[in-house]
Amino acid sequence: MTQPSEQELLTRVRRGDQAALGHLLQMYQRRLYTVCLRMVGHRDDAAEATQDAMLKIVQHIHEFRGESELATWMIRIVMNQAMSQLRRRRVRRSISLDAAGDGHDPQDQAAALRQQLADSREPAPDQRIQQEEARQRVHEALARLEEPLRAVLVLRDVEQMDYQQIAQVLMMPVGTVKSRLFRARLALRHELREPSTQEETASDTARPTRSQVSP
Amino acid sequence: MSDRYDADTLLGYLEGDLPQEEQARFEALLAQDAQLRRLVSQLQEDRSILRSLPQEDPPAHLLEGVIHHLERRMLLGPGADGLDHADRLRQRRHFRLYKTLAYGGIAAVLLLCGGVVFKTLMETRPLDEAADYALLARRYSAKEAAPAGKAEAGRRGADRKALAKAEDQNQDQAAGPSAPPAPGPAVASTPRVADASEPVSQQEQPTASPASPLAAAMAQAEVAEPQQAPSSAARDADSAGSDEPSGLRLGGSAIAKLDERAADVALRVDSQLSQESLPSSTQPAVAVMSAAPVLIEVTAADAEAAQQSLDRWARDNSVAIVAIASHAPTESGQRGQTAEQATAMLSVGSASAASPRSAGRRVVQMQVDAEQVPQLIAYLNRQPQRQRARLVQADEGHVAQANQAAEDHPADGLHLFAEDQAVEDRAIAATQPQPASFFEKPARTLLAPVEEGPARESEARSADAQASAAASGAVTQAAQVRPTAPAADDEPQQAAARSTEAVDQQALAAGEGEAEDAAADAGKNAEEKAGSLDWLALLEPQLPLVPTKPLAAQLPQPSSPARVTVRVVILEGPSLEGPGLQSESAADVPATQPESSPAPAATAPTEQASPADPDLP
Repeated sequence: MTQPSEQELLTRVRRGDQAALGHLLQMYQRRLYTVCLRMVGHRDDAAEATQDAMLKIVQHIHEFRGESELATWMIRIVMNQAMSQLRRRRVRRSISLDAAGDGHDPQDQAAALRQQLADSREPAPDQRIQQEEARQRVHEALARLEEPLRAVLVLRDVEQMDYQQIAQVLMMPVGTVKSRLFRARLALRHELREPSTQEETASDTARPTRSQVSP
Repeated sequence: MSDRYDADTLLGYLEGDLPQEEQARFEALLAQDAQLRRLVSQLQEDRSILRSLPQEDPPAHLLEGVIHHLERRMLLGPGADGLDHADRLRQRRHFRLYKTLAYGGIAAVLLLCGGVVFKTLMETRPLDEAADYALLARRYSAKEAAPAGKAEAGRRGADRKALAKAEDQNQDQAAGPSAPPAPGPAVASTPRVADASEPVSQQEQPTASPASPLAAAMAQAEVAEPQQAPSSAARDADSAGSDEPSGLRLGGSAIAKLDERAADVALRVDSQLSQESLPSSTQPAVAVMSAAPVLIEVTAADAEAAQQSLDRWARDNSVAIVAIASHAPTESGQRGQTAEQATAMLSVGSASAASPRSAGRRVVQMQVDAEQVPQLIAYLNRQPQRQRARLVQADEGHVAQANQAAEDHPADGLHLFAEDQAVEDRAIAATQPQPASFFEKPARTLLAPVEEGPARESEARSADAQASAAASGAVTQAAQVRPTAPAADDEPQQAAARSTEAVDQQALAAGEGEAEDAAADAGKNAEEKAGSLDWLALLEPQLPLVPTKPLAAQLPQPSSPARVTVRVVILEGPSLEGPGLQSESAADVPATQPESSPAPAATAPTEQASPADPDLP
């Protein structure tokens, strides 16, 4: 039995088919939860925000006019809900794999990452460990970023949206998305390589002019 | 460090959005710049790590709660959670509908209120204006009554004494066997009074014209119903102990507004009349008042200014519905009772229907040229404080008829229609209907067919009488016309009776003591009066004649065929017996009686007139 397409489900939802709405939510729940988790950084908070976002989607699905993709529309709702969640609880947590404990805590994102790394089929264990450490650092650095920068990075690299979709989700111009994305990448790099910041700052004294780089 | 490089180019290279040429150029730069190369590699590494982050599996209960919510909606219906979109849309539509209806209703109510207010204002404004003027007149009268009250009281006292003397003398003459023949004194008495009137006018005019600011007032339209509530002026009269009826009758709302707007109107009227023009704002009031009698009451000093103002629209509109009555304060300090009395008498329907004359009203129908109406009004204004004149417009048919008659006698400038007493009585009776019907059908019986023989004969006799008056130096045409008219109708008895009334009136007005002096004045003015038409005496010889100037000399010759028929209502009131009049006219009686004998038919009944004339105040 083939899965119905998104458009077909949407049509059925507009006709009042609640089951089609359930199918739609099931299709997008993982993606929505991932975006919310990357933004919130905590599973429980992410689950709560995602559920609230889904309820909003259920309530407002009839207002969707198809001017954008359904995924974009849903992610926008989820992103707003995640922002609200962050503002409400002021969650500023950094997750450390070292401090994660035994890894049996299902609420611990580090444990989930470790479990995911354990499930992955990488050829070399050492490479897997390095990659995992890199992901850990990235995840920690991502949690330390400012929310607007984090949102752009999540949408761009995690959700792999294009500029236009990001602009629709965040309700900002494309140019702002680009500049904010560049600043977010630099900020992430800064967070990931914090010890070497002073070296780079010292080397910035001999900066070439912009005309030297720009074509 | 990134500030050294172009962000767009660097980001484009990282995202793979650069064109081939720019990408090659940037890679060349990367090959040269190790620092840039390291930055790009770090950014690419971070990006790859981010993109390598896997999607997380949501907890199992995440979707269960949502699905549970959906199942609940499926089982209980869309409104189970109270958040159904359709319901919200429906509510929004209803809200919009209600909002639209509410706004529409509010707009409709506002429009309706605005329309009602506008209509009310437009309808009530003329009445308000009239009411304002009426109140203004009353207040001005009250103000002017104070300084002039004492002088007026003394003058009125002298009048009463002279009147008592004249009555006694008249009774003696009527009862005595040695009374002169009837026609002779009747004719002679009239010119004597007319001759004596000239100096009186010159004397009384400044007396009646205090140096007060312009106080012009227009009384409002009188109400026909005599049973209506008395007006403010009537209340004033009642408060002053006067038994005279008041014709100033306003609606309740108008009365209520009088005091509120009196101050503003006073200023406005002062400024308007001082500029000798009635503004357009008063024209609606005039138009409204044209449906009913109008009395414009001014002080003698302001009569001329008011007249100039009224002349304009009277000429423009060919409106002859103008009555101007100058008044003076009375003893009681109130407004001259004659003014109210005049108003009351002019109030159609308020006077006695059975006996119009008993109401003190004299109605004479005349025809004047339209251009002469202002002069006629001015002439009436110059009569000092003792006469209330009223000009009423007649219908066009009668105007044409009057025009034809006037063309036959162009020299007169005026034409007397009601030459016959019966016609005049009918004319007076015709004024009794309600104002609307009265002015819609204006006094048909007033206009006698002047083309008929008797009327023409009367005119001819009038000319003869005029000539004889010129010869005698003491006879006015007016006084002669009336006595001769009954003779033309072969009704000598009636004519004699009427002439007797006139003579009696003059006799009453005459004082024996001043007769000789007045006769001397009359002799001086006799030649000036000769050939002129003392139309006031013509109109009502029973009235104590007031000093007048020759009207024919004042009125221009008719230059326009447009003529209006006017009715002059001369009212007798308590203030009609002015001291100057009484003294002057009393002096005329013995001096002029032997000299005049032009019309025996008219003078004969004069002796038979009873001094107890009910018309006398």
